[in-house]
Amino acid sequence: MAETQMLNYVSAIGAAINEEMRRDERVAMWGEDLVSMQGAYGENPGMFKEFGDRIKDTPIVEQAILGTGMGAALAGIRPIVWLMTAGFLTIAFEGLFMEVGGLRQEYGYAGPMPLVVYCRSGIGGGFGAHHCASTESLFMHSPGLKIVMPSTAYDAKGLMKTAIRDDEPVIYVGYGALYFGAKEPIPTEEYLIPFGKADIKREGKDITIVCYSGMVRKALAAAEELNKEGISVEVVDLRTLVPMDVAAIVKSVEKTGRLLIAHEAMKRAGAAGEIAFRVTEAAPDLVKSLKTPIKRLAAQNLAIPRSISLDAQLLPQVEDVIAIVKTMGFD
Amino acid sequence: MAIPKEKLLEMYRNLITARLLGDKLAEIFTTGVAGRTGLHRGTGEEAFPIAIQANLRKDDYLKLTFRMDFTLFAKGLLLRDVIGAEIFRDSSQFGGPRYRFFDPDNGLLAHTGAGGEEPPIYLGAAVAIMYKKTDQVCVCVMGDGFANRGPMHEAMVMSAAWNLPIVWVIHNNQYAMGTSVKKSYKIDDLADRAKAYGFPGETVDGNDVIASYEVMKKYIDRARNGGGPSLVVGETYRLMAHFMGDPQIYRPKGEAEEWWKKDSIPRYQKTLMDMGILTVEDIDKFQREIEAEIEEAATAALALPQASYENHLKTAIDEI
Repeated sequence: MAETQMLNYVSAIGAAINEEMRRDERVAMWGEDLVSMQGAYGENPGMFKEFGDRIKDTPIVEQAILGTGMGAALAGIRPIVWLMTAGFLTIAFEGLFMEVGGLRQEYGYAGPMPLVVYCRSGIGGGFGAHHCASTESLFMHSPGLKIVMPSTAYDAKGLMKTAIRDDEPVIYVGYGALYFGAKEPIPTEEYLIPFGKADIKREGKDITIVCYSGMVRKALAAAEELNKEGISVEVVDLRTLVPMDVAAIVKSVEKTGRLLIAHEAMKRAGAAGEIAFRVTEAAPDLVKSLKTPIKRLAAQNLAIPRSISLDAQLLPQVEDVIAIVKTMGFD
Repeated sequence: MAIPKEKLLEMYRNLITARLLGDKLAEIFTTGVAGRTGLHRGTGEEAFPIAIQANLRKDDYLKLTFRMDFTLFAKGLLLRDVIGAEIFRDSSQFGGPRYRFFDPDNGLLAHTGAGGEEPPIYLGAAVAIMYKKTDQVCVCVMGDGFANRGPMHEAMVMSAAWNLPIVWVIHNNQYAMGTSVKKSYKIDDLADRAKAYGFPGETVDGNDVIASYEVMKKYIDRARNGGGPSLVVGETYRLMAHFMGDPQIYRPKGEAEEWWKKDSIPRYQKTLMDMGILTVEDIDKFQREIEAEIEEAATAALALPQASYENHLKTAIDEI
């Protein structure tokens, strides 16, 4: 049995950044309040001392934070830029969608641009759309952005290390409500998790739930309940939306014959539509032979209210997963 | 300190090259071999970018205004590759830039399709210089139009906060497409803006080669030596239309004629002749030599490969 240490989600991300900064002196990190508040992103106060100026505070200038990350990545640095929330990515939208995501391609440049754009979604707590919204589907539509959305501390660490070593731009979206959640045993030995490899978080035989980020936890809780009623749920965690492991979904659905796609982002033009179509294109005969049509569960098409009592009503919850699964031909 | 004679003559040759190259590009565009129309000509505004580049090394980072990109031979690009980039040829396999001057290994981080998004990206190069502890600098030249955009403001704020090795430059040619600078700015001296960011600002006659060289040298040396950012404004005038074919209904009668009187070339010729380092014979000789160089470069540029879709496909990150 390999040695492990107990880390929560945020500490796992911090550990990944620490390790990579020690490993490669080109890695640097900047953003708002990183140093001043020592922990905008993690519980690793020691690293601010250890790495000195390689972690820097910026003024509140999101377009400049994002753009400097891109320019530095083209000039030999491997930056991690901290944009705080997935909603704040929209402040730097042009830079992220068109320049980071597209400029290399406009110029046919396949050379390195190793940039990690790091933020959180799913913070909850009545903070409203800028702090809580899931914006990943906006950026899935950009031609050149990889999108990472881990659901566990283990994945969060391995995927952050891969993101930092990747030579292409990556948006890394942590899930806020998990940050200070339960500690998990994390191997002390180094590991990386490749992009484009989904993970079966729970095996089952009756229905496949494809999800990612915070929705995985809810799907697993629902699966536990459904199991008591004799419905065996397989939970497929995509881990990265771009690139997407369509083959893993197809393989799972070949076994279960049912597909539910669930995410916390808004339903309209959300990732679920894309996922369903990717599966249909990859395996049209499988989709034709499903026991029941593909369904999706997502946030309602409304902005996230600035009221703590309303957040939960808008976002899909465990009971919503249970309810929708029961409509998928288990009579 | 006096500018060395070699530097003065290098700038003279580059100035004449820019003027003749501008004419050659217009000819290429007019005949249709460019595969592109609507060249944004920069004739009459060459002196300022030539003087800027006379202070730069090939490994420094530089963004010019898109109109003045054709002067990038002064930073060390081959004339062939400059012409090639203007007409969508890709000289990257020969060590040149990709179409439209994208060449991160030689300090060119490209133009964004929405002009004015470049300052944060170029500031990133200055951040990289800070981390790598090299003595490179970054010079980011914006037109008077794009200099008003938000990204420039944020980048200037951050450059000051981090004391980064960048010189912000406004190439003020008095027009943003059809809009006069007088309609967009409520200050007469654009360099006044520097004060608000906490770094020095200075305006120079951008049609005066020596004055432009000296002012740029002061601030580029300052940035190179850890002195941080600054803002230089070069005053010039857009003698050409916004693009070839623009009827220029916005331009008051007689305005261009007044600026032709301030053209950099006769002024610089007189200065150099007064200094005794340029003769009438030299002027003719340089002209003939440069014309031949440009002809040869243009022929070579037209033979460069077109940008390839194969390269484009290599940039995909998931299924296409």
